[in-house]
Amino acid sequence: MDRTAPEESQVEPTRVRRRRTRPGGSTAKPARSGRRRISLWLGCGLIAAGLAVLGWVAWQFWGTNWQAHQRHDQVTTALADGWGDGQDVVRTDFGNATAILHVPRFGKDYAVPVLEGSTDDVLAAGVGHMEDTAEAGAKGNYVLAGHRVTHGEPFADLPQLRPGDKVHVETRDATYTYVLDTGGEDLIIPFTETWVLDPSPVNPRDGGTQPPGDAGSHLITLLTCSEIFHTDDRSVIFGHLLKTTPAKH
Amino acid sequence: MRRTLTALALVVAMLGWAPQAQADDYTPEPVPTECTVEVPTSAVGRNVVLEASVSANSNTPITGTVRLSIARGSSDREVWSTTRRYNGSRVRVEGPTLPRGNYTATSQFTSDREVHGDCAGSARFQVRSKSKGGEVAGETEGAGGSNGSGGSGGSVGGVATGLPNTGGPHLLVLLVGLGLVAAGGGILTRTRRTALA
Repeated sequence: MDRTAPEESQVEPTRVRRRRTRPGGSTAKPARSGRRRISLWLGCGLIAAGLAVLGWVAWQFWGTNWQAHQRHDQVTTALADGWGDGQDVVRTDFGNATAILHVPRFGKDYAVPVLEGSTDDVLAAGVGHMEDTAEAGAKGNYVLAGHRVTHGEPFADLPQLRPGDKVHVETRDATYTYVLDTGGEDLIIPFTETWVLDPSPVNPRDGGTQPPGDAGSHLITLLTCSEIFHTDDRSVIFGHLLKTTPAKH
Repeated sequence: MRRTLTALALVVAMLGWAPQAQADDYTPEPVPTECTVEVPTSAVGRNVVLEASVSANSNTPITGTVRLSIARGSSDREVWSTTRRYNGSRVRVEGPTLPRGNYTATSQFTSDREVHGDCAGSARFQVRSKSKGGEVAGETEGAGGSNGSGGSGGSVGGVATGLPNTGGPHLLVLLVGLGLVAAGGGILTRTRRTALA
């Protein structure tokens, strides 16, 4: 008992010392807890902001596709109804629809409506027929643009297209079958090079990819972005009209 | 009479001693000029047309060179430029076809004569699809000149489309999102560790 008593007395001073440090820490504690609270809120805020940004990206990659597929169906249905009523051009909520694009390499069921123009609304509801380019099957260059990613991504597999692949453009009057002269990865150009929209496109670069000389005067040009994320480069494919099949009314 | 003659002689003598007047080094300030650049309305799918003019409150003909350029947004990222002679009348230049978006047209005038100052002017304009907006009036924006020149401004119209944007969001946006989540998580982890210690 006598031995334990001194041990207890040795413990006592350390307790006292701890108590002595507390009064000093009593002013630091609120400051530390305040800093901790700020850090907590800052961390939560950054995570919330990051999740919001990631949510927007997710919406772009998945949400817009879901939305665009709904629109494709709406426009395609409207086209069928309009054609049945004798209209060549059918007005929809997203633009004026004129045709349905079929690309066998993209699948037997691949059918995307073609709308006039290249606005965001148009490209979110189908494939856009570029302004001031030829009509489907007509003399000149029929230029179609579509999203490669997001908004239904109708041209997601465009780089897989090869020369010789066929593209069918179904209108009220006829179905125009084009055969491709270049592949999906043959020509990548900056967005500023608009010579591909010309009625007879000629690549200004010596030896650059362009429609073959014997392609004739009834051309088709497909274009989309060359990368999954935003880019200034565009992938371009050229083709020419192979045959015209009148529609059976 | 003698007094008059003496006074006259004194005046003549004083005039003779007076130093001749020297030409001052003074050179007149150049007359401020004002640059105006306009992007008239054009049909969709057509080339952008820029019109530049320079004016000054002076009877001397304004001659020099005008550099016209187009940049994306309000940045310095030029997508096109050209330099033309300016002989006192409006310069009209056909530019490229552009995809939808916001652009800034800039004209920079360099005078041949010292009598006129240099100037610069800019105007922001939008390229929109005709099917959506038709002919669209653009915004105007003045820009400061230099070398005694005055500021300027310009009015604009809508223009044409080029190859549309058919891609996804910027990769940077994804990276920013991931970075924010990582940073927030790091701060929370560190705070928790500090609290436990």
